[in-house]
Amino acid sequence: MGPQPESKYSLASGDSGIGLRPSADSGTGLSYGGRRASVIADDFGQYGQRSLTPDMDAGDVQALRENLGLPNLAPDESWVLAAGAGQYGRSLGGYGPASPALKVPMTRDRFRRLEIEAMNAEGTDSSSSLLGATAGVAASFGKMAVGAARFGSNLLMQGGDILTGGYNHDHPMMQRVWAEQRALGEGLVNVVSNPVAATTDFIEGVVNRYDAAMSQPTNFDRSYSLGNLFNDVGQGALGTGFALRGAVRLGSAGLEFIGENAFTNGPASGGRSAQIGGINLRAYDAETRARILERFRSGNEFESQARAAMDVSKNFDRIYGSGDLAGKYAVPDSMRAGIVEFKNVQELSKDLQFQLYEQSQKRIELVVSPRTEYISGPLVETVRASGGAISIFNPRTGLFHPYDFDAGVFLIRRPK
Amino acid sequence: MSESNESVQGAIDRACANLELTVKDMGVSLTFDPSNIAELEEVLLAVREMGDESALTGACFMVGAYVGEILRRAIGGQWTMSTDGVAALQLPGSGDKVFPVEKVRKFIQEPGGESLVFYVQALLARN
Repeated sequence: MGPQPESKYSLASGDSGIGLRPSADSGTGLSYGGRRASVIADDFGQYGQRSLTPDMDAGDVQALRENLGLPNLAPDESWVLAAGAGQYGRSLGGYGPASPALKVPMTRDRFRRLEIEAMNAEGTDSSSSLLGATAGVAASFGKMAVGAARFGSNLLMQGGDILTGGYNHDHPMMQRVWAEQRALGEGLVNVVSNPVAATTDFIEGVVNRYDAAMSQPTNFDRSYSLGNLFNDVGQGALGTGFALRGAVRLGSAGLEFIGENAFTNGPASGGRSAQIGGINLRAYDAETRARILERFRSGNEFESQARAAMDVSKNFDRIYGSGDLAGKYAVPDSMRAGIVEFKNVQELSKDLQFQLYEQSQKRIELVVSPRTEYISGPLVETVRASGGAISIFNPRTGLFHPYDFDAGVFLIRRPK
Repeated sequence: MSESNESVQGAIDRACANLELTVKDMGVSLTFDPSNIAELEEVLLAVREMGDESALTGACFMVGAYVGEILRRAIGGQWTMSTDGVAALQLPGSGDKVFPVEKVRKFIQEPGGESLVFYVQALLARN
């Protein structure tokens, strides 16, 4: 028996389908205190975009430290904090706490209003909760800025390493950068190679942290954790949606040029195929290339042999259409008691394949991947009407998250 | 196992052996491990780049056979062939049939969408 769902979160229930990514214009999305994460992120984004200030001086840094409630922040961290607000904020596409005079008070005020609304609803003690929440935001905010700036600094050097084909890769400074970036987490490679999976894991992490925060014994501790989480959600949305967009572009270009192994195993030349398995037919001499292609052509003979050995029992594994769909057919990924279809695409609609499945009146089980962003309403209804199921399979965790048609949410299943 | 199934299995085995030999020339070593799937995707894309339709058709069957064999060795089951010539792997327990060769053909039609890695990992997790 598989693990039971322990909690649930909404990955949005859109107007005409399931939007699997929180967004501003569709679905309910991940929510905190009754407010959508996308709205929260918009607020942070609005302030961040509007108030970027590239020319910060010592006074700004001091004001920022005080506003964040971190007067004793180490000098180098203060510098990094300022750098994160200005230079790297701009170079990475808009990220950064920006003007301490505007951004932090507005952020804090925004959070305070949300917290007050939440506490009014719950009838909790406001003073300790506010203190805890504010401290949590400040601590989280500082960590995010420091991390982002360090990340940005290393990223620039990594970008240079990539663009020069690893010319200086063995230099001690470059080695330190690559090592430190790995030590900061495997975020870069993860985000560049699989941004949607990284985002999905981020969302799951938020839910787990929310549960952990709510289990804290005191109002202060609980609010501190919630404030920390709340700010990370906002900053994380900024980071993923704005700042890392630039990083992903740079990283993707680098991957194309030098191959993704360069991010983990050192420099090498050639295209991505060459990096992964030395697969580049153009690189082979004519004789080798001809031999390879001839062997692949022999695959047709093997298929003929297999066909010749076909099972004598009557068994039609294709789904054939009738009526308007006569002459059409589709081959499900799996079938017996019903149809199982695995889809690793961004958007899904009720195309010919699913029309044929519907016509067959078989149960339909649809498994999508973390990169899937949207499933159309008609397709959702077709699956529901068939008595089937929809779930997200996350290859990173090996878990399936089934969709609850009635509640309109995907259920989280945690590893044992 | 029926005689016909043994013959199907024999054809699959020969296809897999030939694929291993072929990709060795390309610098790829196959071990019937799920981690091979990403390399098999690269092999298919490399063959597609050559524009040899016959080789690509054959590669689809060979790679599909290999993908199915990876699944069969991990979770069991047996190969079958329908009367209309679609190779299928019947899984143990549920009796579900999966169609790795057809999946590979879908992949090569839409490499950006139909990831074989996701397909195999999901099937392994599900069974």
